[in-house]
Amino acid sequence: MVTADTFKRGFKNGISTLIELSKVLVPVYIGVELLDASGLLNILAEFFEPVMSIFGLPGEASLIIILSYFLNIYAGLGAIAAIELDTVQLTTIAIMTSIAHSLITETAIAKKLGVSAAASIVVRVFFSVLMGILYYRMFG
Amino acid sequence: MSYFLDILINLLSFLWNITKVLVPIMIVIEIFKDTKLIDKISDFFYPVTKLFTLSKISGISLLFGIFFGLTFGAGAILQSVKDYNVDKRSVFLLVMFLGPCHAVFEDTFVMNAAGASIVPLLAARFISAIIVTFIFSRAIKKEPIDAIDKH
Repeated sequence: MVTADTFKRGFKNGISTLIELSKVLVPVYIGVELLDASGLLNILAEFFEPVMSIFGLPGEASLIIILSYFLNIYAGLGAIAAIELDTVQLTTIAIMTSIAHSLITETAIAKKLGVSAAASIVVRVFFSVLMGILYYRMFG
Repeated sequence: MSYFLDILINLLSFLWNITKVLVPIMIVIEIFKDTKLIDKISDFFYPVTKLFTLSKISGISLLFGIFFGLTFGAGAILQSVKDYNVDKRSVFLLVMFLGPCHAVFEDTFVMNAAGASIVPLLAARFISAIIVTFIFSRAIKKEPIDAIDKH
Protein backbone atom coordinates (compact mmCIF):
# COMPACT_ATOMS: atom_id res chain seq x y z
CA MET A 1 0.00 0.00 0.00
CA VAL A 2 1.34 3.41 -0.98
CA THR A 3 0.49 5.95 1.68
CA ALA A 4 1.76 9.38 2.68
CA ASP A 5 4.24 7.48 4.82
CA THR A 6 5.81 5.97 1.67
CA PHE A 7 6.66 9.44 0.40
CA LYS A 8 7.83 10.59 3.81
CA ARG A 9 10.20 7.62 4.09
CA GLY A 10 11.50 8.16 0.56
CA PHE A 11 12.11 11.84 1.22
CA LYS A 12 13.86 11.05 4.50
CA ASN A 13 16.06 8.42 2.85
CA GLY A 14 16.94 10.87 0.11
CA ILE A 15 18.00 13.53 2.58
CA SER A 16 19.93 11.12 4.81
CA THR A 17 21.75 9.69 1.77
CA LEU A 18 22.55 13.24 0.75
CA ILE A 19 24.00 13.97 4.19
CA GLU A 20 26.02 10.74 4.13
CA LEU A 21 27.40 11.44 0.68
CA SER A 22 28.16 15.07 1.51
CA LYS A 23 30.34 13.93 4.40
CA VAL A 24 32.60 12.21 1.85
CA LEU A 25 32.02 14.31 -1.24
CA VAL A 26 32.70 17.75 0.25
CA PRO A 27 36.06 16.93 1.93
CA VAL A 28 37.22 15.07 -1.19
CA TYR A 29 36.18 17.96 -3.41
CA ILE A 30 38.07 20.45 -1.24
CA GLY A 31 41.04 18.07 -1.02
CA VAL A 32 41.25 17.75 -4.79
CA GLU A 33 41.02 21.54 -5.20
CA LEU A 34 43.89 21.87 -2.71
CA LEU A 35 45.93 19.24 -4.56
CA ASP A 36 45.27 21.18 -7.73
CA ALA A 37 46.29 24.53 -6.23
CA SER A 38 49.46 23.06 -4.69
CA GLY A 39 50.57 21.58 -8.01
CA LEU A 40 50.58 18.04 -6.59
CA LEU A 41 47.65 17.05 -8.80
CA ASN A 42 49.77 17.89 -11.83
CA ILE A 43 52.57 15.58 -10.70
CA LEU A 44 50.06 12.78 -10.08
CA ALA A 45 48.43 13.47 -13.43
CA GLU A 46 51.72 13.26 -15.32
CA PHE A 47 52.55 10.00 -13.59
CA PHE A 48 49.24 8.36 -14.52
CA GLU A 49 48.86 9.98 -17.94
CA PRO A 50 50.10 6.90 -19.89
CA VAL A 51 47.67 4.54 -18.11
CA MET A 52 44.71 6.91 -18.27
CA SER A 53 45.22 7.57 -21.99
CA ILE A 54 44.12 3.96 -22.62
CA PHE A 55 40.65 5.13 -21.54
CA GLY A 56 40.92 8.51 -23.26
CA LEU A 57 41.09 10.16 -19.85
CA PRO A 58 43.42 12.86 -18.53
CA GLY A 59 45.95 11.83 -15.86
CA GLU A 60 43.94 13.63 -13.15
CA ALA A 61 41.12 11.11 -13.63
CA SER A 62 43.30 8.47 -11.97
CA LEU A 63 42.40 10.15 -8.69
CA ILE A 64 38.66 9.60 -9.35
CA ILE A 65 39.25 5.91 -10.04
CA ILE A 66 41.47 5.38 -7.00
CA LEU A 67 38.99 7.15 -4.70
CA SER A 68 36.05 5.17 -6.10
CA TYR A 69 37.79 1.80 -5.97
CA PHE A 70 39.07 2.19 -2.42
CA LEU A 71 36.52 4.50 -0.80
CA ASN A 72 33.23 4.81 -2.63
CA ILE A 73 31.37 6.30 -5.55
CA TYR A 74 30.62 9.50 -3.66
CA ALA A 75 34.30 10.14 -2.97
CA GLY A 76 34.81 9.62 -6.69
CA LEU A 77 32.01 12.10 -7.37
CA GLY A 78 33.74 14.70 -5.20
CA ALA A 79 36.78 14.40 -7.44
CA ILE A 80 34.59 14.43 -10.57
CA ALA A 81 33.13 17.75 -9.46
CA ALA A 82 36.63 19.21 -9.09
CA ILE A 83 38.14 17.90 -12.35
CA GLU A 84 37.05 19.10 -15.74
CA LEU A 85 35.91 16.36 -18.13
CA ASP A 86 33.76 16.18 -21.26
CA THR A 87 30.63 14.01 -21.65
CA VAL A 88 32.43 11.00 -23.16
CA GLN A 89 35.11 11.14 -20.45
CA LEU A 90 32.46 11.52 -17.75
CA THR A 91 30.57 8.53 -19.12
CA THR A 92 33.76 6.44 -19.33
CA ILE A 93 34.62 7.30 -15.73
CA ALA A 94 31.01 6.64 -14.64
CA ILE A 95 31.06 3.21 -16.31
CA MET A 96 34.37 2.28 -14.71
CA THR A 97 33.49 3.44 -11.21
CA SER A 98 29.90 2.14 -11.26
CA ILE A 99 31.12 -1.36 -12.10
CA ALA A 100 33.92 -1.34 -9.51
CA HIS A 101 33.69 0.77 -6.37
CA SER A 102 33.84 0.50 -2.56
CA LEU A 103 35.87 -2.64 -3.14
CA ILE A 104 36.79 -2.92 0.52
CA THR A 105 33.31 -2.67 2.05
CA GLU A 106 31.40 -4.37 -0.74
CA THR A 107 33.82 -7.28 -0.82
CA ALA A 108 33.13 -7.70 2.87
CA ILE A 109 29.44 -8.13 1.95
CA ALA A 110 30.37 -10.71 -0.71
CA LYS A 111 32.46 -12.61 1.85
CA LYS A 112 29.56 -12.60 4.27
CA LEU A 113 27.61 -14.45 1.57
CA GLY A 114 30.41 -16.98 1.26
CA VAL A 115 31.95 -15.64 -1.95
CA SER A 116 35.74 -15.24 -2.04
CA ALA A 117 37.09 -11.70 -1.92
CA ALA A 118 39.50 -12.39 -4.77
CA ALA A 119 36.77 -13.60 -7.16
CA SER A 120 34.61 -10.60 -6.41
CA ILE A 121 37.41 -8.02 -6.82
CA VAL A 122 39.03 -9.58 -9.90
CA VAL A 123 35.72 -9.80 -11.77
CA ARG A 124 34.71 -6.23 -10.99
CA VAL A 125 38.06 -4.60 -11.76
CA PHE A 126 38.40 -6.65 -14.93
CA PHE A 127 35.00 -5.51 -16.26
CA SER A 128 35.59 -1.96 -15.06
CA VAL A 129 38.76 -1.75 -17.17
CA LEU A 130 37.33 -3.69 -20.12
CA MET A 131 34.13 -1.64 -20.38
CA GLY A 132 36.09 1.60 -19.93
CA ILE A 133 38.35 0.75 -22.86
CA LEU A 134 35.46 -0.53 -24.99
CA TYR A 135 33.35 2.58 -24.45
CA TYR A 136 36.25 4.88 -25.28
CA ARG A 137 37.16 2.87 -28.38
CA MET A 138 33.55 2.86 -29.61
CA PHE A 139 32.42 6.37 -28.76
CA GLY A 140 35.50 8.40 -27.84
CA MET B 1 38.54 35.64 -3.32
CA SER B 2 36.51 35.02 -6.45
CA TYR B 3 38.51 31.78 -6.84
CA PHE B 4 37.10 30.47 -3.56
CA LEU B 5 33.65 31.72 -4.46
CA ASP B 6 33.80 29.82 -7.75
CA ILE B 7 34.80 26.66 -5.95
CA LEU B 8 31.98 27.05 -3.44
CA ILE B 9 29.36 27.76 -6.09
CA ASN B 10 30.55 24.82 -8.15
CA LEU B 11 30.29 22.53 -5.11
CA LEU B 12 26.84 23.75 -4.12
CA SER B 13 25.40 23.46 -7.62
CA PHE B 14 26.89 19.97 -7.90
CA LEU B 15 25.25 18.95 -4.62
CA TRP B 16 21.95 20.52 -5.70
CA ASN B 17 22.01 18.55 -8.97
CA ILE B 18 22.48 15.35 -6.99
CA THR B 19 19.71 16.28 -4.54
CA LYS B 20 17.29 16.82 -7.41
CA VAL B 21 17.66 13.20 -8.51
CA LEU B 22 18.39 11.50 -5.21
CA VAL B 23 15.20 12.46 -3.37
CA PRO B 24 12.78 11.41 -6.16
CA ILE B 25 14.69 8.13 -6.63
CA MET B 26 14.42 7.29 -2.95
CA ILE B 27 10.68 8.00 -3.10
CA VAL B 28 10.31 5.74 -6.16
CA ILE B 29 12.23 3.01 -4.35
CA GLU B 30 9.87 3.22 -1.36
CA ILE B 31 6.88 3.03 -3.73
CA PHE B 32 8.48 -0.08 -5.26
CA LYS B 33 8.75 -1.67 -1.83
CA ASP B 34 5.26 -0.75 -0.67
CA THR B 35 3.53 -1.92 -3.85
CA LYS B 36 5.47 -5.22 -3.80
CA LEU B 37 6.31 -4.45 -7.43
CA ILE B 38 9.36 -6.74 -7.24
CA ASP B 39 7.17 -9.81 -6.73
CA LYS B 40 5.02 -8.77 -9.67
CA ILE B 41 7.81 -8.14 -12.15
CA SER B 42 9.75 -11.24 -11.10
CA ASP B 43 7.55 -13.25 -13.50
CA PHE B 44 8.76 -11.19 -16.44
CA PHE B 45 12.28 -11.62 -15.19
CA TYR B 46 12.01 -15.41 -15.17
CA PRO B 47 13.65 -15.97 -18.61
CA VAL B 48 16.75 -14.21 -17.28
CA THR B 49 16.95 -16.30 -14.11
CA LYS B 50 16.39 -19.38 -16.26
CA LEU B 51 19.29 -18.40 -18.51
CA PHE B 52 21.52 -18.47 -15.45
CA THR B 53 19.90 -21.73 -14.28
CA LEU B 54 18.67 -19.98 -11.15
CA SER B 55 15.39 -20.50 -9.33
CA LYS B 56 12.55 -17.98 -9.22
CA ILE B 57 13.34 -17.18 -5.59
CA SER B 58 16.90 -16.27 -6.58
CA GLY B 59 15.44 -14.03 -9.28
CA ILE B 60 13.61 -12.02 -6.64
CA SER B 61 16.83 -11.56 -4.62
CA LEU B 62 18.54 -10.49 -7.83
CA LEU B 63 15.92 -7.83 -8.55
CA PHE B 64 16.20 -6.56 -4.99
CA GLY B 65 19.93 -6.08 -5.43
CA ILE B 66 19.67 -4.57 -8.89
CA PHE B 67 17.13 -1.97 -7.79
CA PHE B 68 17.83 -1.30 -4.13
CA GLY B 69 21.55 -1.99 -3.79
CA LEU B 70 24.01 -4.55 -2.57
CA THR B 71 23.10 -4.36 1.10
CA PHE B 72 19.42 -4.98 0.35
CA GLY B 73 20.31 -7.65 -2.19
CA ALA B 74 22.55 -9.40 0.33
CA GLY B 75 19.76 -9.23 2.91
CA ALA B 76 17.32 -10.78 0.46
CA ILE B 77 19.83 -13.50 -0.43
CA LEU B 78 20.50 -14.37 3.24
CA GLN B 79 16.76 -14.53 3.88
CA SER B 80 16.22 -16.80 0.86
CA VAL B 81 19.01 -19.12 2.03
CA LYS B 82 17.26 -19.37 5.39
CA ASP B 83 13.70 -19.75 4.09
CA TYR B 84 14.17 -21.72 0.87
CA ASN B 85 17.52 -23.45 1.25
CA VAL B 86 19.00 -21.67 -1.75
CA ASP B 87 22.25 -23.49 -2.58
CA LYS B 88 25.80 -22.11 -2.53
CA ARG B 89 26.13 -22.18 -6.30
CA SER B 90 23.10 -19.91 -6.71
CA VAL B 91 24.38 -17.52 -4.05
CA PHE B 92 27.75 -17.34 -5.83
CA LEU B 93 26.08 -16.57 -9.17
CA LEU B 94 23.86 -13.91 -7.56
CA VAL B 95 26.88 -12.18 -6.00
CA MET B 96 28.77 -12.33 -9.30
CA PHE B 97 25.86 -10.61 -11.04
CA LEU B 98 25.30 -8.01 -8.37
CA GLY B 99 28.99 -7.06 -8.04
CA PRO B 100 29.12 -5.03 -11.25
CA CYS B 101 25.38 -4.33 -11.37
CA HIS B 102 23.53 -3.11 -8.27
CA ALA B 103 21.64 -0.01 -7.11
CA VAL B 104 21.19 0.89 -10.75
CA PHE B 105 18.62 3.64 -10.15
CA GLU B 106 20.65 5.53 -7.60
CA ASP B 107 24.08 5.19 -9.22
CA THR B 108 22.91 5.86 -12.75
CA PHE B 109 20.88 8.97 -12.04
CA VAL B 110 23.45 10.43 -9.68
CA MET B 111 26.17 9.88 -12.32
CA ASN B 112 23.82 11.40 -14.88
CA ALA B 113 23.45 14.46 -12.64
CA ALA B 114 27.25 14.70 -12.75
CA GLY B 115 27.14 14.68 -16.56
CA ALA B 116 27.43 11.03 -17.66
CA SER B 117 25.09 9.47 -20.26
CA ILE B 118 22.48 7.05 -18.92
CA VAL B 119 22.18 4.41 -21.65
CA PRO B 120 25.86 3.40 -22.06
CA LEU B 121 26.25 3.38 -18.29
CA LEU B 122 23.33 1.00 -17.75
CA ALA B 123 24.31 -1.12 -20.76
CA ALA B 124 27.92 -1.54 -19.62
CA ARG B 125 26.86 -2.66 -16.14
CA PHE B 126 24.18 -5.11 -17.31
CA ILE B 127 26.37 -6.55 -20.07
CA SER B 128 29.25 -7.11 -17.62
CA ALA B 129 26.95 -8.76 -15.10
CA ILE B 130 25.27 -10.97 -17.70
CA ILE B 131 28.57 -12.12 -19.22
CA VAL B 132 30.21 -13.02 -15.93
CA THR B 133 27.12 -14.74 -14.53
CA PHE B 134 26.53 -16.68 -17.73
CA ILE B 135 30.14 -17.90 -17.86
CA PHE B 136 30.10 -19.02 -14.23
CA SER B 137 26.67 -20.64 -14.59
CA ARG B 138 28.09 -22.85 -17.34
CA ALA B 139 31.45 -23.42 -15.65
CA ILE B 140 30.05 -24.48 -12.29
CA LYS B 141 27.91 -27.56 -12.71
CA LYS B 142 24.74 -27.95 -10.75
CA GLU B 143 25.37 -30.81 -8.36
CA PRO B 144 22.79 -33.54 -8.75
CA ILE B 145 21.50 -34.96 -5.47
CA ASP B 146 23.09 -38.40 -5.89
CA ALA B 147 26.46 -36.83 -6.72
CA ILE B 148 26.43 -35.16 -3.33
CA ASP B 149 25.69 -38.54 -1.67
CA LYS B 150 28.77 -40.11 -3.26
CA HIS B 151 31.15 -37.63 -1.66
